[in-house]
Amino acid sequence: MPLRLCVATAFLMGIIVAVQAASTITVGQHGLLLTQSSASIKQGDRIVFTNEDDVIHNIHIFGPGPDDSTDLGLQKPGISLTYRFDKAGTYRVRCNIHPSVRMAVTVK
Amino acid sequence: MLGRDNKTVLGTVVPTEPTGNRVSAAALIFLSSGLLLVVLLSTVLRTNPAVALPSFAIQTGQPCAACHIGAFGPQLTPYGRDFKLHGYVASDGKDHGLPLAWTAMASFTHTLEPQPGGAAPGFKPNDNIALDETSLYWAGRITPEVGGFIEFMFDGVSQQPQFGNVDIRHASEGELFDHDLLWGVTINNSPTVQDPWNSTPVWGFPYNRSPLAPTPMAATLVDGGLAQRAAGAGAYVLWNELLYLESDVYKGLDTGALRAVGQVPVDDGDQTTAFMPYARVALIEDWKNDHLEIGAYGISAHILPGGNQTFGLFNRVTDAALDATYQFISDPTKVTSDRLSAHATYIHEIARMEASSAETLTGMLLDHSLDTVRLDVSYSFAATVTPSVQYFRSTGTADINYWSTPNGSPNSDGMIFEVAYVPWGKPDSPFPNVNFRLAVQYVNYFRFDGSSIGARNNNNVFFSLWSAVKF
Repeated sequence: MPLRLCVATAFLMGIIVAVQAASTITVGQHGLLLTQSSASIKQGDRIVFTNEDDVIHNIHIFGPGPDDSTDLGLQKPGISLTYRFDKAGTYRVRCNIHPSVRMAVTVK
Repeated sequence: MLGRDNKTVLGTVVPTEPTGNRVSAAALIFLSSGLLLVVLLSTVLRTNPAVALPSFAIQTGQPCAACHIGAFGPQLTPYGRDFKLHGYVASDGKDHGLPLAWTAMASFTHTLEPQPGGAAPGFKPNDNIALDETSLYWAGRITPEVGGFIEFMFDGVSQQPQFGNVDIRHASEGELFDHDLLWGVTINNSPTVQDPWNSTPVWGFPYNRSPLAPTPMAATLVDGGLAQRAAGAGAYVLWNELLYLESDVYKGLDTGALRAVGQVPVDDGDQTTAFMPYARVALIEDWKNDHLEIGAYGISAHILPGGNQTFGLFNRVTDAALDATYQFISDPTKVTSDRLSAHATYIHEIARMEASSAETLTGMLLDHSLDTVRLDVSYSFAATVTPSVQYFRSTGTADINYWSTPNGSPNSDGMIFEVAYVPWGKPDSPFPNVNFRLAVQYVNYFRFDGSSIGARNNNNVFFSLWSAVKF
């Protein structure tokens, strides 16, 4: 196999591995609760929040710094919101409307 | 113990007992206002003061059914309790303007036998139509960390404007022993108005009843005896969503303050003489479809019957109560799913009647007790039709020199049947700002003021239309 082909193949494999390394998990808003109370993920992983209730929700992510926060806005029934966790640290996920909708996310 | 000669009103006078606290009700109000001001200012100074102040439903973007079983207040769902415990500040983040809401209740009352002289001044002996009350609420988030509600009402039967219920609070979150801790402070004007469960008196079933039908005269102090006639401040914690603890201190309003808030009569009512401690504890457990609460609460007070200070004595009244709430939600993902709820409360009151005994000089018993039991069950179909039934009973020390009943007994018991219909307040309702509740209620007495003979004459049918508009 020519050297160039080997390098190209290796490069492509690297991309594929890198893409596969970033995973996505789905968390449901179900009965005014999140379907899991905590998650441990890697940098670059995504969480998809799916509103399975019949009322409007919100996803507000706090962290990893004490003043860092991202409000993903309102979320109608059946709608999903996705957030990619790019920084390592500890996050808190809240719904501004429903105090019981919350979870902790650890990003390594 | 309340109810003698229908003097069920309480106020405050200058303390007469040797160790009484001499801080006046006005001072307490001033201090409470100061505390509130400090909380408000400390919050406002850290945030944008021009925040939105919408009423609860508009503020949260949620339909009535999200917070209320049957899609109309005041029976709370688990989320409704959460919203209250977190200080009424949860929001969808939009600016909805001033948090104003208006309610009105109109009714028709029929009693089995007419009431001689009229059901109330200006009303017929029977078959009365009335505008029971209309209220304007300031209800919602005041700052991002302070919320509450203040009710200004007009009593259509007594034709009297007055302050209604008030509960203003601040809540915050933290951790204790590696578990979630929610803590808060409240300023309110009626013991148990701040309580998130409907098994305590202020928000207990029935959620409305006829102001023109006879009611038994005996009632415990915590069962409405201090409503809107006291001011209190307290703190609460909810640990690990398991243990709820609360402690408050109340002070009865003095005559001037009672007049100012529209409470009448003020001159011949019972009055309190010192700070009144109130305590509450509850254990709660939430499963996927079920919620259970078991708790206790109590209050202690010194009361001058009729405000009479001649003998320098007071009645020492202590209420200790147990309560429980159970709710079953058939589908937690749908606020319109069927919901079963049941409440129980037992209040035991003991009273050392030193003032009353000295005042009457008729051999009144010195020690009295009064026990109240209430059990109710309701089932809400699709948050639209909600039938309910309640058994109630009050039994106490028979004393012909105290209770103005034919045989001196305060005992009453009976049942209440009700069906409520609420067409709106659901996610697909056409008017998110408007809702109403149409209900028919039947009250059946087995005993009334100590006697089963003629008790049924007080049975009544009560049709009510309760409407709410959120501006």
